Amino acid sequence: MLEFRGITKHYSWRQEPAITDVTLSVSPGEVLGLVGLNGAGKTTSLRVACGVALATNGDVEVDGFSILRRKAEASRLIGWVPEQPVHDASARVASLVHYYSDIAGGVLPARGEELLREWGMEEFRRKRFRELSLGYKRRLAVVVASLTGPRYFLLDEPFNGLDPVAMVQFRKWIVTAKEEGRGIILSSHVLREVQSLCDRIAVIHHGRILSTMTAAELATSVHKEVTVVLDRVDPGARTLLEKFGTVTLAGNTITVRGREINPGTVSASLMKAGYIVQRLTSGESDLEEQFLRLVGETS
Amino acid sequence: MRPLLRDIIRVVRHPAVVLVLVLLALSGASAFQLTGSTVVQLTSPVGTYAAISYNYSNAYHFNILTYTGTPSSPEVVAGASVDLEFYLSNGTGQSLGGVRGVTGSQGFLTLAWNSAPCQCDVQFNVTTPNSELLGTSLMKFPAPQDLTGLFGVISTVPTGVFLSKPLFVVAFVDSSGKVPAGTSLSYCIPTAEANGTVSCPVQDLGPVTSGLQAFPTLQSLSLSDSQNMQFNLTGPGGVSLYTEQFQYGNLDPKNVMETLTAAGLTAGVQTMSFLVAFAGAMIGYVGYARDRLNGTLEPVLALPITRSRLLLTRYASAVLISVSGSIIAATILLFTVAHIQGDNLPAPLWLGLPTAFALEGAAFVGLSFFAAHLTKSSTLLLVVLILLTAAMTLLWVPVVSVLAQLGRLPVDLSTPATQSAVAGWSPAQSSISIVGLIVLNYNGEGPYLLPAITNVGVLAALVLAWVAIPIALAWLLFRFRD
Repeated sequence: MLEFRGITKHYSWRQEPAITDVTLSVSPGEVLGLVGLNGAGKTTSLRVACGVALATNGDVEVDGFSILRRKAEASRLIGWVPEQPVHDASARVASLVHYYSDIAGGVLPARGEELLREWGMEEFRRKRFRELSLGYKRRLAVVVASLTGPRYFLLDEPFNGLDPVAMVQFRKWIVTAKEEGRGIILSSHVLREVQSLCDRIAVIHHGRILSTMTAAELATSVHKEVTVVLDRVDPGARTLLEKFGTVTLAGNTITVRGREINPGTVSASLMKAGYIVQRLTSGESDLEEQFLRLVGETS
Repeated sequence: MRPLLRDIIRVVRHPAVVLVLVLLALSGASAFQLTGSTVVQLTSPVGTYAAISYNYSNAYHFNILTYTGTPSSPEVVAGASVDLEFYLSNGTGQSLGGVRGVTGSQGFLTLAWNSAPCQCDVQFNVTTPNSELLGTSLMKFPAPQDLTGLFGVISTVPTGVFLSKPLFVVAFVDSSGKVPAGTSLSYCIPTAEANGTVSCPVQDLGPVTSGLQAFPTLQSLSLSDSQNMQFNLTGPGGVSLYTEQFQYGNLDPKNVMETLTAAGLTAGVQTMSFLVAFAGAMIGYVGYARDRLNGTLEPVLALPITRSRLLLTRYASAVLISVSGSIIAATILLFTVAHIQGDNLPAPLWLGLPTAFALEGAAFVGLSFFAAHLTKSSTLLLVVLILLTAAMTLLWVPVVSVLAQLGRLPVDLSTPATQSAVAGWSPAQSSISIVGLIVLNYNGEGPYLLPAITNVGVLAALVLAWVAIPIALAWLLFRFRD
């Protein structure tokens, strides 16, 4: 199991800590989503977990190995895929893979080549890192992270900036890794991706974990909204719609927000009461809105 | 071993490192030209005549030697009466009035100035006693067009007999070469008194009336080889124009050649010590600081390697490159000097100079590693490095003071040479100069530093500390505060 134990990280004593007392865990074969707004502390949490940054307080244990005291052993079990992979810009892809293989130790030279093939990067072997697109830079990051065959992967915003093909490839890879029994922490602020891939979701805000929930729990917390334009708006229409959720009025337009709203039911109820529905739209609130609500509830 | 080799290859292939290593190697071969030191080599039917110079901050010192045979085994042949003619010219070989002089077949001279240097050149002519020109060489000085205050002393010193020939004095006040009325010359010879003090009674040599003048009084003097002599030139109104103290060593041809070798080495070492420091800092930057500052160290940190091992590997690879470059450059310098001078360099030189440069390079590699933890900007790194060097220099002075108070100074500070080596430079430079000069066993100015070592253990600890402290600090920050 990969466990965060009360991690606090100060980058500067003049500033607030980037993360405070973060406690999390992920088991082999589980995908944990770490969701939060930009600057919430997702990246810092992952950097500390893989040993790139040192925790000011707390520790991360990977199958019993402390990232602080037994870093080599702990890091061998972790693969880190940063959001913006940075390598020597002028180095060629193949030489980077060989270099990291040598540093990691115990990695067969053929392993890097095999991973490059798996990720469709064989033809990019002679390319310099700076010549790669973001999608291929991230593929290379996965190759590097996979060199030691880690039991856990830390993926920082893996879908940001990817084209649809790359997104599908990454999604499939995550599912496969999970099926192989690897534990994954996936940070993201794209709720839909997190919902579809994660078994559990931790919400982080201002460097603190606000809540941890299962995917099912999150689904029920998602607010849906239905907006209708009626021929007339009177107190009866408002009373009728308040049965479905919170109502907001703007002229002839009424917006209803709630956890269990079915646009068809709303429409049928209005028509049955004699209202003419001139237009009806429906949608889900995105993660940012969810967070605004969560933060509002917290404060 | 493989990570170390990978790191070495990674750093050595970087264009900036290639450039700095090439510069370092070239500096060994071109040290003379880079520092302005000049070797003038004259040949004539009766032998080879060499006039070799090296420069200081405000004076040119010439060592003049005429000899037959080869530079490695020079001989003054009896009867080979050849004069070396010296005068200042206007740059085209034309003499500036009143400054032509015959110095004899062997000796040395000093040119110095109190104010601005002159736009003039020094012409060396080798002539027979019948003024038949055998060889000539013109040495150009890049300086403003102003002769005011130029002053020179020419002495001739045949082997083993001091001042048996006239001493000439050249004093310029303007471009016409006139000496101002009222100019006079005096000298004194420091003498140790019975009570341990040193007195130097002034002897007046009379007025200086021409640009080139002999003083017969000096011919009657007899000084031992190592005795000092001080000359004072006084201008109108008793104003002191120039004071020069000479310490005459044993000027047999072989000793003169050794002095000349020291001159060449001094010039080369000065240039190279700067380049070695720069190369060390650059290699440290490419090997570690750059990766740390732009984030490319992070993917390595995420791999199964401890922070200590990562830093050690990076440091070892950078130091190996720096040390190899330094040793190669120092060896090239020694070969260059040995080739040009035709001198057999002493064995300790071959060990001492490369060792000194290797230590200097390692110190600056460590400094670069440390500096990377004090800034987040590559552009500020150079500033931080300079500030660190300055801070360590400031630290060096109190360390020397404390050691002096405790009576544990590693060297005797009673001579100017040891003072400048220990007290005046940065720590890295001091360690280099101490190690280098001690092993070299001479520094061109004398006295030799080897007898000046008073505590080898403290000396070794100091030198190692200056190399080890920066990397130790970098390790502490990287291991515990990153």
